[in-house]
Parts: sequence; structure tokens; C-alpha cells
Amino acid sequence: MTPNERNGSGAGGGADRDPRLDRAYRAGAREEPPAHLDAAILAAARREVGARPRAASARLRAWRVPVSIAAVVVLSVSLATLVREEGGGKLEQSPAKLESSKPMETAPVPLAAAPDATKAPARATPPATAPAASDDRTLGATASARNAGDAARREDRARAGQPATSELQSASPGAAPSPQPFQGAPVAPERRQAFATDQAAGASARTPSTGGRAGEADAPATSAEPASAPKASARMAQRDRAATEDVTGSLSAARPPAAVAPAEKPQPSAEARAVKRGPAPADTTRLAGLMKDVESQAPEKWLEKIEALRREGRKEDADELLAEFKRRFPNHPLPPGLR
Amino acid sequence: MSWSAETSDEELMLGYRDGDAGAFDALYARHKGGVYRYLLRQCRDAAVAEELFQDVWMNLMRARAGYTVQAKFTTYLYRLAHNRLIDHYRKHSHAVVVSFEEVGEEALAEVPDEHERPADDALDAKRQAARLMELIAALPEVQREAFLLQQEGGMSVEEIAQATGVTRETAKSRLRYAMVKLRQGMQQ
Repeated sequence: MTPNERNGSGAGGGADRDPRLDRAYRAGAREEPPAHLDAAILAAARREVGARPRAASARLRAWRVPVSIAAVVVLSVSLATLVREEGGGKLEQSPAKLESSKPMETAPVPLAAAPDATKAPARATPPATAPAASDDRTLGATASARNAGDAARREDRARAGQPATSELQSASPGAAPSPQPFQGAPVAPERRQAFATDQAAGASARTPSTGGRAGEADAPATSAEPASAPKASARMAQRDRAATEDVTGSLSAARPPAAVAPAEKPQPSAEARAVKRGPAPADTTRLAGLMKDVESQAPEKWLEKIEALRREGRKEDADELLAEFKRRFPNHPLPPGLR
Repeated sequence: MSWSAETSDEELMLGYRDGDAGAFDALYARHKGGVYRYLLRQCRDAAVAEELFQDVWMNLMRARAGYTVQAKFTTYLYRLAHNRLIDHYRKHSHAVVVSFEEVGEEALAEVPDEHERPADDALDAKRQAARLMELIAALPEVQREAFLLQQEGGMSVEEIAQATGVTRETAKSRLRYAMVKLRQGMQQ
């Protein structure tokens, strides 16, 4: 059907039309485009519609934002779940590893606080507001809280039977049996000595009643240290205080928590200041003396030493060394007799 | 969506513009023969006519996004065909003879009125059709175009003028001269 036929003979040309010519033309005009041309054009028309679907694109555009948001939410939840299930343990362990790998820069753990740590919240965060406190007592308290939190985490992990990093390392073939810091980490003698003093000072501050026994058993081993230890400790404290003041300005001024970069920084100085006020320096050297033989040794040596102390009847020394061992190797398995 | 015979060409084209390939199918079925014959009679070469025919429909597809109803769809479609034909002429250095001016007024005077023409019942429809096709082929191009647009596109003089880009008077003259010649030829 041609438009001429649809419109009627008179509609198109009007008065200019000739019925005889129209009739003759319709009789003769029968040509049609070939079928392959029809197919090609119709296919092209469909392709054109499919390539740029206007209605479909409008529908897709309407769904684009909700679908994007849903995808982001799903990805975030998946990532969070993965991190919590797999990466969370590693993230929690990494501060402990850091602590054990840098023994000179970490604050000593209050051994007496460890048993109480089970009462502390398991996920006690490091005291972000600790540097804002200006007096030493607050600093010490926050350090204790942080260490209590660490101890609680260690306790939780031990109860849950979570495999520790060091266990995994020792279980794998070819892995070093002992943690790296005790073998490879270079430690300056001066800082080592100062640290030992700090450790001892912390121990004495926590257990002042044991001060009287300082020279009883370990006096020969640590006889040279008491004289130099306070000086070194003071130097450390001075250096730490200076460093903290460099970073944060005045210690007494109120500062935002973020202004103090590492939360651990003020703690050694707090402990060092505690050394100044602490009881007898001889008492503080007892733990250092106990650790002297095993400090740079593998955990097994520590355990051997602790067992040897127990066999000798020096239960308190053994317990102190065991506590220090637990602090340094929180994930190391203990023999049944020491648990 | 299904399209009925009552659906106008413009509605079909709007449907195709909005992504309905079925609308194009219906539109193509309605106009493929007319456009093809228009091109075939104008260029008188089937291969060239097929090429031009395909180009016309491809141009329609490309232009679909910007299509709005401003005139009859037929006028729009045949204008595309006319433009493509002009491009073809230009490309092949084909001189489009504006031949209605070449036709003398005397020629029109010689054409007998329709009522005066003797009825030629002896000629069968087939012979008449063949004769008409010869006469159409012999027409000047612009006159032939006007006649073909009237026959194949069902266009009025105004629509022919629109499709070919000339004034109404020009279109009317072209059509009138074409009719005169064809009538004369059919009487001989």
C-alpha cells in the first residue's frame, strides 16, 4: 500500500491529479527493494535501537545510585568481616611484636598489675588522653591501664587458645626458634643499662616490700650497676622528657590527644621519674640481675632459668622472671609446671 | 508494542525514536516501495538505487534521536531521499536540469484537455503502464521528481515544495508540466 493509496487519490495532488495517469502508474509501478536489502536495513534499525536504548538507559540511570550505594555497603561489610576474622588477630598481635622487638623504648609492664588485668576490659585501648595529663601520677596510671589492657588481651588469647605468632613461627620449618629482637636487634650498651634500671625501678615501685632483699642473692651479679643505673635512668628520663616537650610543647599545658604522637613516649619518663622517687636502687637491680643471663637469649633459655630458680627454691625470683617472660613473650607456650 | 494500520507515520517514528524497533518495521513496510521506486526512477540504475535507498533509511535511523513532528513524516522521509539524490548527482557531476523553464508555453497549449481526450479502451492496462513508465523516464528530472513525489509519496503541491526545497509555485509548475507531458505522451 502506497501513501497515495492510503490517502486516496484526491488527497495528495488535489486538482493536479489525473485519474488515468494514477491508474496507469499504479499498474506499472511494482518494483520493490530486494529482500536482502530489507533484512539489512531492519537489522541495522534494531542495532541502532540496541546500541543506544534511550528508555533502557533512563531506567538504568535511575538505578545507578542505589546500586552503587548497595555495592559500597556490601564491600565495606565484607572487608570489615574479613579484617575482623583474619586480620584482626594479626593487628592485635602486632603491637605485642613491636613491644618485644623494641624492648628499650617500651615502658616496663607493672607485674603486679597483670593479675588484675583480667578485670580490666579486654579491649582497653591505649590511653589516647594520657599525654594530656600533666602530672606523673596520671601518666603512670595511664601507663598501668595500658599495660593492664595488654595483659588482659594476652590472657584472653591464652584462654581462647589462639595460636600465637611466635608459635606459628617456631612451628614452621626453617623459622627462627626465637624472636628476632633478642638476636638481631642492635642495642646500645648505655641504653640497655638504662633500660635495665628502668625495669628494676618499675619493679621496685610496684613491690616496695621486696626492696630489702635486693642484695641477698643477686648482689654479686649486679654489684656494679647500682651506681651507674640512677644516672643512666636520669639521662633517659631527661631525654624522654625533652623529646616529649619537643613534640608536644609544655608538658603541663593542656594538649589535644593527637598532638602527642606515640602514646608510649611519656611512659618511660614517668617510670624513670618513679626511679628517682623509688625505694632502694639495689632492689631495682634484682630483676635486671635475674635477666642478665637470659636477656638476649631464646625463650627456652628463659624458661630453663626460671625452672632452675624454682629448683633452687628462689620462688619469688622465679615468679618475677616468669612475669617478665610473659610480658616479653606473651604468646610463647609455657611448660605445664609454670602455668 | 504492536502498531496498527491506523497508527500514523509520525507516531511510528516517535515510537522508533523512543527505542521501539517494531515501529520502524511498520514504518519501513509502509514506505519502502515508494522510496525505492522514487530513487529507481530518478537514477534509473537498480544498483545505485539500492545504495541510495539504504543510505536514506540509515540517515533516518541516525536522525531518529532528534526527530520531532514538524511536518508530515512522508515529507520528512522524501526530503531525506531528495537530499541523498542531490548528493549523488553532485558526486557524479550530474547536471540537474531545471527543465520546466525549457518547456515552452506552446507545449502546454498543445496538450488537449482531459475531457477532449479520446478514451483509449483498446490499450490494455499493461501497455498503458509501460508507456507511462517510458514517458516518466523521459521527463526532466525536477518534473519527474514532482510527479513521483505526488504518486509515491501521496504529496500535495505544498508538500512537494517542502520536500524539494522550492516554493509552492515552482513545485506546482513542475508538477503541471509533468502532467501535461505525460498526458500528451499517453495520447500518442
